[in-house]
Amino acid sequence: MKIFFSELFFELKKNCGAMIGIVFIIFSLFIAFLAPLIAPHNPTEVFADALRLPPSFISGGKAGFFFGTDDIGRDLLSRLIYGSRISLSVGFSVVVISLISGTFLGVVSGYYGGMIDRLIMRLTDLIMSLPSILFAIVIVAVLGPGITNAIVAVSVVAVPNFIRIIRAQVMVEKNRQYVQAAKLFGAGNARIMFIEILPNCMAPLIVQASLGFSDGILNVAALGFLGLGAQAPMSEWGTMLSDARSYIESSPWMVTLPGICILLTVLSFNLLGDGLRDALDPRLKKQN
Amino acid sequence: MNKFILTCVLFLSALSVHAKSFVYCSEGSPSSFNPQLVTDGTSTNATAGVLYNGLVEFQIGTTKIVPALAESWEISKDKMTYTFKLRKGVKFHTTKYFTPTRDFNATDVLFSIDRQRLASHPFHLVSGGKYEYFDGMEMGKIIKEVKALDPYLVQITLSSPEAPFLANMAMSFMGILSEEYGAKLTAANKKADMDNFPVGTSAFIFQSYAKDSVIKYTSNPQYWGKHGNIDKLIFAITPDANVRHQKLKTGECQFVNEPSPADIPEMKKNPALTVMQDAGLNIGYLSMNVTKKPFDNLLVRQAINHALNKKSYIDAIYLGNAIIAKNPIPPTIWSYNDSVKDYEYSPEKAKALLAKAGLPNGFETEIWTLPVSRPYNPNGKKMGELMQADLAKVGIKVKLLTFDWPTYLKKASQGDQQMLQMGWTGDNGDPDNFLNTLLGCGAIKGGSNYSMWCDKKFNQAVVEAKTTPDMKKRSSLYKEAQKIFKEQAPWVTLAHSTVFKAMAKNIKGYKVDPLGHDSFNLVNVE
Repeated sequence: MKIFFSELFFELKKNCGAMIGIVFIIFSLFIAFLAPLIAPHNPTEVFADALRLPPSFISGGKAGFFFGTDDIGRDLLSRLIYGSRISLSVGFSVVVISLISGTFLGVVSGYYGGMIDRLIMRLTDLIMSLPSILFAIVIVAVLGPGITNAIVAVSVVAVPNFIRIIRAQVMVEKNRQYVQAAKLFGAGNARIMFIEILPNCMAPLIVQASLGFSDGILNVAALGFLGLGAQAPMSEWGTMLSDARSYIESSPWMVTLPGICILLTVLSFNLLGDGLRDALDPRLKKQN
Repeated sequence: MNKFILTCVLFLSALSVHAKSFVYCSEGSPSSFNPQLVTDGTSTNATAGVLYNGLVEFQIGTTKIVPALAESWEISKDKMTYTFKLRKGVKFHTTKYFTPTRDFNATDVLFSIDRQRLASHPFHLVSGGKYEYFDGMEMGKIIKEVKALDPYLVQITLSSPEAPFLANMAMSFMGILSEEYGAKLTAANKKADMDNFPVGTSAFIFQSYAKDSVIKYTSNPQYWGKHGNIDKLIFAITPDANVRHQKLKTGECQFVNEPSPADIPEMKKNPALTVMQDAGLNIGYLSMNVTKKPFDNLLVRQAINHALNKKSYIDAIYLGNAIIAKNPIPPTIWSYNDSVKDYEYSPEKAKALLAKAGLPNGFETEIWTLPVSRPYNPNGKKMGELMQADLAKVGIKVKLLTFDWPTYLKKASQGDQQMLQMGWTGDNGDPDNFLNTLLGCGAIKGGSNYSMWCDKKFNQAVVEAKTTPDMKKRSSLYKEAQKIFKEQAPWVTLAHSTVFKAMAKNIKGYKVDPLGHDSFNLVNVE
């Protein structure tokens, strides 16, 4: 395992895009963790005399508000910093939830086959036949708006991808000799599935997880934009974007900045994901 | 196909020759084309505003009552009998689906009022049989009898004197429908068409309607009143305020309804546009449900009044286009009590009052935020966030909730809320329309008293004022009522906003209506 990761990193270093992605992700993790120390103001504090101020480096801006203020006088920089906390933890939760449940269902489905497989596959077909964001909206509409429910909804939508990837991999692996050997030694099904086969399916999972991260962030931001995600006064990027929409002509920075934050975060995770795929693919071929 | 292209070309060239078409970017689809069935401004603009006349009307741009389909009227000494002398020679619209054979007369008046009043009327149950305005104003109770003395003389007898009666008659739901059209539809067994394919008497004739897209009207050459030069009136339905602004800028429409306050400065700068404004006849408020704990405690209600910084709402939400409200009626309405003193913004006082009420550490509660943009509150959600921040300062933790507009209204009438944002635009310029409609004990059952607040002294004052003909006496009763209201604090009165209308420079003769409706009868396109 250790060798696997050090080799992976060696491959990644050659990929410029992936490195930029990693650097930006580490940078935003850093900001998210240290938000209370970095943020100049409380993100929910209202400055009644500083409405819609432009960024301080543009004329009309005030020194205390680096990126300016929003329509009810809250510091934009602080809100963006705290927003990174929400977006990253949302992405993380989505990946964890969908990864665990998707992996479990995928392994079971691929290993046992038959009725169980058919049942699980038809379920994924059902979820995938609906546009993901619409399906997420339906789930949130049933559960009620809120950040937790948005995470649940987006995770459910992401699960089928994991199931399919793992299932395909498991179906290849389960006929290999090491599995046969384990069976002859009398290993139980659970042991074979999760201790013998699963570690050999890690490569595509890692790629899918990093891409799932960006999908999760994007989908939760979209739900926030539609008013179904984070609730006030939480400073979530998607919600900030939607709130600032009506000021797009008079105060363009209010809508631009959260948009750029979403763009950069999603882009860096996508770059990382692509880099991982490139790094892991030849390795897979070598194994075969 | 060639024919089709030819028609298209002819149609387009006809459009360009006819420079007198007028495109109005409205904010939504009307719920019906019968003014008796609608209560919202959007539907009223598309029906009563262009298609129908009442017996009396408000003069455009004022709340003065002027003759319309009635040339004159007499009120008996006991204020119980109103006799309307009808205008002669008024023609109903000639449309593709209806050609009138007779002029307007008393049977049409009886048909229109009785449809709403009498459950036995053949048209009463068409389109659901709910006449929200008529019932909400208790017109059924007020009117005892409607009689035609001769074809041009209608007598309405009331069950008790009612000071705002004539103003009620001028409201949009008292528009006159054609009895002859009704008879024709009954014979064809298509009664529901009455409310979908309108026939009225006003300056414009209905042509076609595509839901969520466009409504077309042409001018009525036989209109009895004064008339501008618009030949074709088109309502382009555009729900998004930003899109309406863009369309106005590119000349796709000549007039926009409800421009977003954020766009006003830019519109004012644009030399191709005229922006009109007027002090709106409205009130935005935060209602506290006095039947729910802890709002049954007067001290808590007063504390919340002290805790909210209204000035900051005016700046942030209305962008300065409003004045702070201290009474439930706007200052442009007679009997406004200027001597009432508002609760000033003071978190310290609020905290002290909370402590006195036995809640020194505050409490947790909910505020429902307005889901739609209205002149009295352009952005309910943002205002909710400001309130949340203000109340957090005195230890009250607030959760913000909202629902879609119809659900919001329904749940609020049932009293499910603890606190909710609401507002009101006056319908007839009478204080009764605010004080009794929104705060009277009767309005709890009617569903418009969202605070569920029934104060005996207050209610006595407004009910007495309603049945008193003497203006001075009424005025002093209403002033007293406002004082009681402020002491008891069932609401936090927030703002009276300025209403904006934006139009192209070549539109002349438009007047901003204090009642919030748009009328294009006198508009000229140059």
